[in-house]
Amino acid sequence: MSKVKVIYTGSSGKSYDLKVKGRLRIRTANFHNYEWAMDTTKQQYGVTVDRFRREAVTYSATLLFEGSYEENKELLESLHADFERDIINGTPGTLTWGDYSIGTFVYSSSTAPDSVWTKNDVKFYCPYPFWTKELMINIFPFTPTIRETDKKFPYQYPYSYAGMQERRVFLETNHYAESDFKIVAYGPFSALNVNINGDIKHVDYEASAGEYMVIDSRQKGRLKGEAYLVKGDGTRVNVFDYRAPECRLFKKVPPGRLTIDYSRQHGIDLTVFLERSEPIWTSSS
Amino acid sequence: MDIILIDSTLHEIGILISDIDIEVGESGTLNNFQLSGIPRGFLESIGAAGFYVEGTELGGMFEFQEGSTNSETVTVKGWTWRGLLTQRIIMPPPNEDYRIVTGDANAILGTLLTSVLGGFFYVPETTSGCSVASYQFPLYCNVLSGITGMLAEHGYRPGIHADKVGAGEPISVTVEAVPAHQISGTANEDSPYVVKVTDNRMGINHLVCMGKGELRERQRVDLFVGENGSVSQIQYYTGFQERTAYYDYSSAESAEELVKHGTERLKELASSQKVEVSAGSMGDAEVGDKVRASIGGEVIITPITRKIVKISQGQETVEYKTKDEQ
Repeated sequence: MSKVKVIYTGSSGKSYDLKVKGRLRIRTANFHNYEWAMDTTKQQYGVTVDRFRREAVTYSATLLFEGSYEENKELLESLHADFERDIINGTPGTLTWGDYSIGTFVYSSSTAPDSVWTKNDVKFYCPYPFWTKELMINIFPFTPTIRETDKKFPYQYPYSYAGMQERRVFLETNHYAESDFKIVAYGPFSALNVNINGDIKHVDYEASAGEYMVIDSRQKGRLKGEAYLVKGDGTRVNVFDYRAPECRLFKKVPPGRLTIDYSRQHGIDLTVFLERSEPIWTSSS
Repeated sequence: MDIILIDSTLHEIGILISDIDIEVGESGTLNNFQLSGIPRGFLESIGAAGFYVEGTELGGMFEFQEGSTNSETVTVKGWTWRGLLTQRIIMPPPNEDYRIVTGDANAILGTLLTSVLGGFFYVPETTSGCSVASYQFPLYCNVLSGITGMLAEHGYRPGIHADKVGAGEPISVTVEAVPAHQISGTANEDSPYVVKVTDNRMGINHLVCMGKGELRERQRVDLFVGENGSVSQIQYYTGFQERTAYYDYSSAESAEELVKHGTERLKELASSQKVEVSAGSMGDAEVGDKVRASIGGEVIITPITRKIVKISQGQETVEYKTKDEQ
């Protein structure tokens, strides 16, 4: 655990490194602790499992402010102010372990000042009980050299001009479950049409230069996903209605290797959100 | 199953995450939906006026909302697309006693639905394969009841589904004649249906109905259950099989009224066979399709009269009710 970074970031945006020797350290924590709940139907012998589900999770941790209370007073009070700001505003802060993060409210705190260190027992309440790692790829548009012979094609050639460049891009997620994703597609384009492992995300809406379109499959309040265009002046236009019929815009991407295929006439950023019940143990952890 | 929100012009807004309870069925059922736990003002804030589930008949417009001052959430209700068909009466043409129709079922539906809700429903111009000859609608029946009865006579049912026609286009709600399918009572890996059959032979088959009058002068009708479950005044079950009960209806105005009410009562008391069907989220049988099940070697085929779809905490369930089971 010595090298992995552990950070709390309040909803204010202010971050606190919880592994700074001689200043603030996380002494004990149980972040690698999870439990699934089951809905079952009783049988003569045991049960059949109808489904597994997860409840919100709570982690206990002990923070140590090294030095006297007076020396750490400012840091401690700032940290606790961020804890409370999250709660009062109902906006979670973020707990980060290595590459993984989870939304959290610190809803319990008990502080014991001392002349050598100040011990602070806290509890992290995480309503959505999964740790998420963001895996991002930037895909740039082709800049093809157009030859005279290429202009003779009566229709658009599917694999770039003269087939000289591979249109598809591959992304290995090394993950075992379907994942949420976010596509940011930069204009200009007449319509968005991105194929990820055979699943087409098609929005028949034009984006001009300086505009970008976002397809984000993650839950936003009571809505499952968002699809919108951000105009040059920053205003948003909901483009969900412009999806192609039967196109499941927010269907998660499959596990494993992703093949991303589109015209490559414009750039896109693809972020995949890999979720786990616990942050991955890395070799440096 | 995605609950897709639509605005008042039937354009899509987004996908709602909510518990939902939808019931669709024949004319006598509720044919409505209920979305619960919706944050107050949320639907209005995004301009949502209704919802649909693509390619299905599940959907409708929000026409009822209830909440209380001590709750931050509201419950939203409305008619399903099918339910809207119960809100219109089939009238006889001027100077005629009955509405009588002939032709391809889709053409008939097209004519009937043109005037319903300002032409809200779309009926394909293609022929359905269901040819109707001089069908007489019951007087002043609602549209759903009328077309369900007409199609059932030919082994068809109303196929109702809402679809996205094109990007940026409003959704379209289609009503068309489709053949009624039959689902089997055999549960296996390929069948999402669990069929429960009940064979109740403990019922009454002879009802002594007593009407107006005193003592031996009292009006009396004996009603009997026949072999096929029909009720008549001819006895079928005798000896050990005869089970008798008494029905007191002293306010009957006539013998006909006594027979009518006695028949209803005897059907309630008679032996019955019941078929219940449940399915997970895969259940795609529709109202008007038929369930085939066997009880002790006897095969029962009964139509689905109600379909109840629920999403609760992300879990989808589908339950079916068949004829004579409520």
